[in-house]
Amino acid sequence: MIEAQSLTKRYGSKTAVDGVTFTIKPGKVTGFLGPNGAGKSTTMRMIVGLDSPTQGHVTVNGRPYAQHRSPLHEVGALLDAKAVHTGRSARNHLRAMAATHGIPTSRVDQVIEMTGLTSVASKRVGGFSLGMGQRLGIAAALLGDPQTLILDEPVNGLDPDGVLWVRQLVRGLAAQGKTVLLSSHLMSEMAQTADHIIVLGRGRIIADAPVAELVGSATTTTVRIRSPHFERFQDVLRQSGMTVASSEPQLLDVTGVPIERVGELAAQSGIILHELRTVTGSLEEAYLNLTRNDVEYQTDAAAGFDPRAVIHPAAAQQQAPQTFQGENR
Amino acid sequence: MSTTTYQQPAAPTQGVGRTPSAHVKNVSFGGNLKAEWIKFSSLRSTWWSIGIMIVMSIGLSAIVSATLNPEMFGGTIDETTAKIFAVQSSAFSLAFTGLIAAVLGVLVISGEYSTGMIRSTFTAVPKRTAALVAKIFILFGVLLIVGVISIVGGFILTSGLREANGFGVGLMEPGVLGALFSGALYLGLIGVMAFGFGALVRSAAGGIAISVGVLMVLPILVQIMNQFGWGDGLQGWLPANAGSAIYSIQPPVPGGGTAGMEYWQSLLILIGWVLIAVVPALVLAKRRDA
Repeated sequence: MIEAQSLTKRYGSKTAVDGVTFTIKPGKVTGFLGPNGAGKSTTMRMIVGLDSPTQGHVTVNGRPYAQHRSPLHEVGALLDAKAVHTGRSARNHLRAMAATHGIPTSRVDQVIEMTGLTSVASKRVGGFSLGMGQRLGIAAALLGDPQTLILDEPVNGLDPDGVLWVRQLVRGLAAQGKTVLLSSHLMSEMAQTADHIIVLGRGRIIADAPVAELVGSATTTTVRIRSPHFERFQDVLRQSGMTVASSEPQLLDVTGVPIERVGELAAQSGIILHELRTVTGSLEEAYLNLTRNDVEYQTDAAAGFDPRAVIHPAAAQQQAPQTFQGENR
Repeated sequence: MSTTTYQQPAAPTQGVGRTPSAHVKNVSFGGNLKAEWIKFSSLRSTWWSIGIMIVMSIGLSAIVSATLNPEMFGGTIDETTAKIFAVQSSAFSLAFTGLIAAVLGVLVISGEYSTGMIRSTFTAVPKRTAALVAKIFILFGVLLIVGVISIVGGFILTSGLREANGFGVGLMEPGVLGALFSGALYLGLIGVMAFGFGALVRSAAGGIAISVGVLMVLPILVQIMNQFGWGDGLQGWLPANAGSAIYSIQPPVPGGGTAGMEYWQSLLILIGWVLIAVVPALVLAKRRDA
């Protein structure tokens, strides 16, 4: 359990985290999403006491992290894969961390084996690839058999096996009632791993909801139609008061109506359909919609060019997608 | 904590058993010392520095001992002169090994900052001070041992060379062992002072620059000032000079006493320098974001 109360971090005039309040509950995987510079990492660093908050406070299992007598048993954190001295071997790094808590060497060897580092454990970390560095960071986080796990971009640089392993690991730990907080920029991965999502933008919480609810509220569900008579059908649909978009010939996207109604209309008008299906929003889409105005470092994709037009043509038409809360559900 | 266990997940973890978390104990100072010893001893730079200090110390002691010549003193030397030079032959290397000890002291902490290791250290020991104090203990202890090996050991190893030149002085003669051990103490204290500088500026380049500045540049500066009539008596307040005051046998001046400061005064000055560097470093380490 992690509880943050109006947590704020300022660096000079820049506010990295701006009064966030949240509770991360045990037994679930909570995903931390947000653009670069949204304050995810800073928040995680404040949770484990590496940065001290300018205002507010955060507790882990009821106490500030630094006040736990056995911190590594409370929280295992991977905040930065290369928080390791490059001149030291992976095993010695873990042995040193273990020694502070009287953790036996057998546990060190166990986490090395768990993370698949056995063959490189005696090599110096300086020569590690990004993926091996991540594995070592995860090994260090697991060392103290923590009640709470905080992983910042854990799958960054991992091979597909490693990505799958991390997913199974965190899901398994959550199933045992542990608290898991992880951040990732891989939306599809996050959608498969997390139960609950907190979206940060410019240091503030934009959304804090279960994955399904978040996707439902921040995206639109559309009905997709492919028809040789699409022009005629478009008119029929419009006459029935529906919002229709067409991004390519033969293709229509209708928002705001149940799929059954569209099918009935087609039958009534004698229109041939080649495809009729419901297109639901993705977490990625929900995320892009939510963070549209909170991207710190704007690129073309975020500024002018609308990525949603590519991902989902109909969504681009909606000026305020949030108003479409689960209308089609 | 309760005996909660993991179920190992899948794929790459096969064959891993369950982990009783009863094995995880509280953070203790003994644990910190062990952790810092593992960190200190598992880096190559540590052993390079130690090796160079010992080899340089004993080597220089051998060279100086072999070239000592009573002719320089008009053919005959008294007991005090023999003692002064015998001790100096072994302790003279400290002008150089002191710098290596300082570099090692800086690297012990700056290496953690430059690689990001400090975040792992402070995550495991969020109270921070305990980890840094453990680091200081290990650094000081090792440098003390290295000092004893290189200076007392050097004295013993090269005593034959001095005897052949008529400078034979026994280890147990009054003042000799004390001066040699003080040399080892100087090495340890200088290392810890440099550690403090390294922790303050959190960079190898900065820490080494300050340490070399304090140990080598300040004495030269004060010397130049003295030539212009400024800062008389300032020399004795610098760590390198306070050090050489404790590891040299000072010639008596007519009427009793010694020319410079008393032993304990120089030792206090040296300890003062260590505190000036280490205390703010510890206070800031606790306050600053890692």
